[in-house]
Amino acid sequence: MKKQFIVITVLTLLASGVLLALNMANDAPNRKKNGFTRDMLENVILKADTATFENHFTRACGWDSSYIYFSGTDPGVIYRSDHALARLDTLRVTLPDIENLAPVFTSAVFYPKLYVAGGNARVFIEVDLEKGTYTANRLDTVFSFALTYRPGASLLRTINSKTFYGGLLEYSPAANELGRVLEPFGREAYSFFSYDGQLGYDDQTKSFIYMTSYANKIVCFDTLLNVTYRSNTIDTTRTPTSIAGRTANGVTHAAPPTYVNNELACGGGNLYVFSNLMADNEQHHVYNGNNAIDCYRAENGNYAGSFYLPRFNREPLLKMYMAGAGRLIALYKHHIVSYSLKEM
Amino acid sequence: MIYVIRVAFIILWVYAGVSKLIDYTNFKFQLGRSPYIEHLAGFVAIALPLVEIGVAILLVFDKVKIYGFYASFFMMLLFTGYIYAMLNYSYFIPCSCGGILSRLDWHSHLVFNVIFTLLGLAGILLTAISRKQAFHLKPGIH
Repeated sequence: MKKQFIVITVLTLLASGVLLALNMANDAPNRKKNGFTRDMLENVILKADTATFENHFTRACGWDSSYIYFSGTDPGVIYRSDHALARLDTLRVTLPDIENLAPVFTSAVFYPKLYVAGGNARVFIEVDLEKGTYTANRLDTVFSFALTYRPGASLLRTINSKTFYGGLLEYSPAANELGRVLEPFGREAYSFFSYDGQLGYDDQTKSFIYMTSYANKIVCFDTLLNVTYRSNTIDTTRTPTSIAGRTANGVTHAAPPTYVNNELACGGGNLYVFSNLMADNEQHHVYNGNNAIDCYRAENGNYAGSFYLPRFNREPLLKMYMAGAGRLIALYKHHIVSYSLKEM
Repeated sequence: MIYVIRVAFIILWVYAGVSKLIDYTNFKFQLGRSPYIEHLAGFVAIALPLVEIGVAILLVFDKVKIYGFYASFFMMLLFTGYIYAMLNYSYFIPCSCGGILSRLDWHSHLVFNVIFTLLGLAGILLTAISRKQAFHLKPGIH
């Protein structure tokens, strides 16, 4: 038996060595210098209210002077909390039984209206939360998410199912009409995947911001879908865009994509970008213990500085949302934090 | 017991190897999406199914089945460690298996692999014990 134990030990060490080598050799971000520096701003966070709710929230989806609204995994349930996160109400509405509506849907609340957009189900539902009534419209286009920026006006992130171009398409739920379309990165092959990203709306400049996830690009455009400027986030990366490829089931990433920008939140004339890349003037332990937020001006895309949001029990930030000027809502796995930020 | 473990591993390796060869193009594509083996995808996509079938063949024959168990244990250790590393340290998590196993999520896959790693270990130890017993039972060797 001694021989067997020796062989088992050797095999275990060998397997560990192989895995260690593979881990050391991969192209993980932040292993090498990323070629940019971050200007850290001080005392940006004025106040932080923290709450731990049992419910699982996926995103913040609306705000008004009294409440902040959150959505979860059920499209028919909306949660609302006061700005200090001191109490939580649950609003339920019975939605039609639509196949593939959950889990890929985006919600927006302009109380008493709730807008639920299901990309896989190709459906857009307008709900009256007070009356409990709804109108469901089927759409002819495939989309990944919708941004409803004011009652009755939405932008859909569409995908051309033949060419896989990505576009942004106007949609009016009340009239059930599709409008203008913007292809922010032209007709580059598989642009839907290569330039996948997030869309935000800044209520102060009345402009949309599209931020790419795998490249350091920002595109700003107005409500008529005219591009007002193109800019870059401060991050640079060794793999500026992802590579897409065809499979039997469609198109997906052909190589592991490197996230440059994780999350975007817009409001009060600023863009807040949760970056995935460490700057050359940051220390590993500081960067890994925090979430690096880069702030840009919505009017021109100029970099205004960066600050940290702390991690909670090593949990990274999952979602960000601006609930009015200077109020940043951060969602973690088990916590929600409402930050009051100083004017920037 | 050894027989059951052998049969389980033979079925596993034959199924895993053959399904990867049949679905070679997709398997290679999926491997290319893994941060850990992105640059080795071409080699692994052909070598891994051949090794899996080779290990199944080792397990078929009594004289060399112990090497089959060693190889099974080693490979299951690698796969288990790979999944653990993907879940905890990888910056991107793709799907890279074929056939029925593709229906398992990564956590279920981890549990499945841990069980088969332990079975591999049991196979080695039980084979060693049974050989020792057979050696002592042979007439004239006491």
